[in-house]
Amino acid sequence: MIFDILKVLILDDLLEFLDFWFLHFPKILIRNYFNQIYSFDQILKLKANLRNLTKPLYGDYTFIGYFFAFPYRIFRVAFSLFFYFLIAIFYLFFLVLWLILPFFLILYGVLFSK
Amino acid sequence: MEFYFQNNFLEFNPYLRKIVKSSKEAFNLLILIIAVFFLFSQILFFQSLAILIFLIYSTLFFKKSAKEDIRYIYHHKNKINFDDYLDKKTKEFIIETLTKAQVFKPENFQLFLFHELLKQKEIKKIFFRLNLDIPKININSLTIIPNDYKNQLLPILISAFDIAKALNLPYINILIIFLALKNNENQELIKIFENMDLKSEYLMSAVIMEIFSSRVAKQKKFLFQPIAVFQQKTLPKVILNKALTSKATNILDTYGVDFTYLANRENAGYLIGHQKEVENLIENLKQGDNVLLIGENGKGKETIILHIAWLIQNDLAPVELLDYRLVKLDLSLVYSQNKEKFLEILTKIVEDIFYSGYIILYLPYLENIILEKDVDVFQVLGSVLRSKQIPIIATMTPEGYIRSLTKVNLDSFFEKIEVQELSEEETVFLLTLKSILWEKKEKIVITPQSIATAVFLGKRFIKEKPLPQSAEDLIIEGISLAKKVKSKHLTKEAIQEIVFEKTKIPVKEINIEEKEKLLNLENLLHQRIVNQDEAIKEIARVLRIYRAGLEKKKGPIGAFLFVGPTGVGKTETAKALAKIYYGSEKSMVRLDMVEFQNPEDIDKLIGTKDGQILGRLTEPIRQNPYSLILLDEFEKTHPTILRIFLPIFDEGIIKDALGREVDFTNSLIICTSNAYSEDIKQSIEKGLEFGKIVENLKSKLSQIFSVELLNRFDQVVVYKPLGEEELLKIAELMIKDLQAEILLKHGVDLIISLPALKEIVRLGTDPIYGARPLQRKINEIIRSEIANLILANKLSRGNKIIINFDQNFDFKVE
Repeated sequence: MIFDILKVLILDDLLEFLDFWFLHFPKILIRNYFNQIYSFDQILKLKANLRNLTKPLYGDYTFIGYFFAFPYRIFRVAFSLFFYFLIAIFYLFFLVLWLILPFFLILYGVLFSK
Repeated sequence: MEFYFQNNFLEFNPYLRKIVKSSKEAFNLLILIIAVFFLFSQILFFQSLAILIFLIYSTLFFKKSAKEDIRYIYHHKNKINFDDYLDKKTKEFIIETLTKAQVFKPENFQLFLFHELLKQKEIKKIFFRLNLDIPKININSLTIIPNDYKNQLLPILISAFDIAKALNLPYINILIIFLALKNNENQELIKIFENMDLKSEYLMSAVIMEIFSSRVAKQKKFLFQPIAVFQQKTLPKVILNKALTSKATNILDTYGVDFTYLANRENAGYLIGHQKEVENLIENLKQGDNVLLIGENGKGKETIILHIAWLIQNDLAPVELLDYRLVKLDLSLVYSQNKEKFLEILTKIVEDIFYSGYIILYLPYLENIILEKDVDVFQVLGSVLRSKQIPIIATMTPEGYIRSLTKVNLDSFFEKIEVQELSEEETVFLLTLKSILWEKKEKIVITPQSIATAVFLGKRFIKEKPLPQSAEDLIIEGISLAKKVKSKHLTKEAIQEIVFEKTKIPVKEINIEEKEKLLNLENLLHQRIVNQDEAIKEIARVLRIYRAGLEKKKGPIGAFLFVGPTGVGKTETAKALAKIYYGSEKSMVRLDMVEFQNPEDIDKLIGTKDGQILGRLTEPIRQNPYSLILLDEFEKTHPTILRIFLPIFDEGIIKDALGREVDFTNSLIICTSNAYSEDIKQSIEKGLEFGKIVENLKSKLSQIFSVELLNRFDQVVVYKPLGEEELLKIAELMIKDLQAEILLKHGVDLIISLPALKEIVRLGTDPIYGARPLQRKINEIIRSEIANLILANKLSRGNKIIINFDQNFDFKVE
């Protein structure tokens, strides 16, 4: 009985908090990342450029058209990938910070207090 | 999937549960104080910070939502603990209710749950929205050992879970619990909901409006903005497809509107229903076919096309279409602005599109330009359509399509897709979402009952427009009516009022006056019709059934064939009914079927395809569906034309020559016929029993009318020839009318002796025409003599005219 009461008083909330902090929130963050990428692609158009990698720009089916289009599209694809990678790094950085924050707060005081 | 509800609080008995709950709150507060103390005293600063984060989480905002998200449940998950899917407030409410139930031991737990729900702020809001008073509930307690309340709660939670999933909500809240409780079949609750006239769909709409209104309020660009709003905005000078494979189309952009661009910028393209049409359309476009969408205005043709643009823009269309732009080009608009150079401009636009590529052309209301007399758009468009190099979507109304076929064979250019009307459920959902916007704009509460009523009545009685347009118009008109009478709510009565004003169909609740009229209809009709009990009884019966809302699902209110000799009161019955029940004889559509003796006369009945002649049967019913139709001398109709009446009597619906549906389900049809009247007379003279005569006649009628047609009549009524007594009664009724008229106009009373009356009957009846010449005779003998008296100034107000007969008619003025 006493254990049950203590469990409800402290443990339940603590377990739920840990579940939220280490599982639920990272899930939300990952979903959010993909949503961000999806809305960025409306502007950067990575998918559209990948689909048409070998097609010229502005319907110019001459040699010049192909000549300029391919590097342009490659550049856009590379730029988009790099941009999405940067965002991923940012998200990852934030996620790592988020995950170590509780340990940091608890351990920092113990390890580095005078 | 296994469902259960496991919460550690529920392990304790209800009293201990209360104590533990209070202790927990006290404990949290204590920790908070200690943490703040340590934080400010800089002792264990970081640890205190961690504890604070934890406390903020467990007491404030993070725990508002549920632990898990219903939208992201993994397929392999086979155990669902509802504790993880209830938001914080609902979880506390459920635990509290279970605790109370264990203490009070209610007999009916679901009723108790309902009682507790009614105290919640959110549910009170729902009742305000529904314009209903919160009911008073009495809870009976059990003296014996209580049931397992947790298990009784489970089916409600399961139902709530399904609803939340269907509505794509992340977790279960109090409103969803309430909705689930309504869907659960608890007898006592069903009675309460029935007493309030609270149907599931009303509650669902109310809950959707409550849940989504906060979301809509936040969203600046809402999906339902009418397209006209953003068409006015300036578009960029050069629009290209997103893969940049197309060329600039300056001329097209001058006259057209880029839907893919709008879908991107304005987030337009939300669609409810029409999934089949979208699939078909995409399939045809993929195969390179041109598509013609046919549907009445207001069915959502343009919304479907805008949705296609949205799919393309969001990379959700098939890969073959992903790099296209979808551009609207209203040819009749271009023509009206540039009549002289129209074909030249059109040629340039087509060249522009060929030059650019990657363009789907949308031509709205194509019939307008096809039917334009001074221009042949197919000079340019014909070859384009035939080559199938530019995917083209055109739209037309069914009427426009039929009229266009007289000028061009559209079927050789287009694949046809008929746009179906939205179902009533889909329309209710669409209008519920739209109502959130209207409420915001008009500052009025739109009750779910008014939405459901608008959809129900719009579908049935506003036939000139399909759903959702018909229902939408009713709500918009309802809002202005409610604002005019300064009402806070748009109620279903306001919608009924508007439908009644528009159609004169009695959709309102039946009032006392009408109730009286209906209950006494036989007596009222007998004031004008002598004898003919059967016909009168039948008519009164079907009208009573109709107004009580118990009418048969298909067909008109009633279809009767009155057979009998001339002048026995067949037509008079219809006239009397029109006057007494429909308000005036003018509200009767009367057709003399002698005029329809040739097959080509069908045009007069349902109109012509070019729209030059309007149907004499269909047009009045389209305008006023709540009518009495009298088809005189029905047996003279040509058999080909008679076939038209089969679907009318059966389904209550036919299409006119222009393909428009005409609804007869609110009409009462009376056909009269004097076929075999000579036989009836002879049989009566021979002294044959009337029942036997009716039987013989009915079998003979099948020689004139097909058996299918005869079977579709609700009743074939045989009118008896009139005897002397009946004729006297008729004459009396006619004299009574005259009496009333003279008294009103000249203040003179009229008295007629029995011998005089008998003489008028003798003179006014005819073996062929029955009582028909009677009115003429009364006019000849009495009315004209009274006119003479008036002109000779022999009558003054208060006088009395006494008519006697002895060899001659004698008019005495007293």
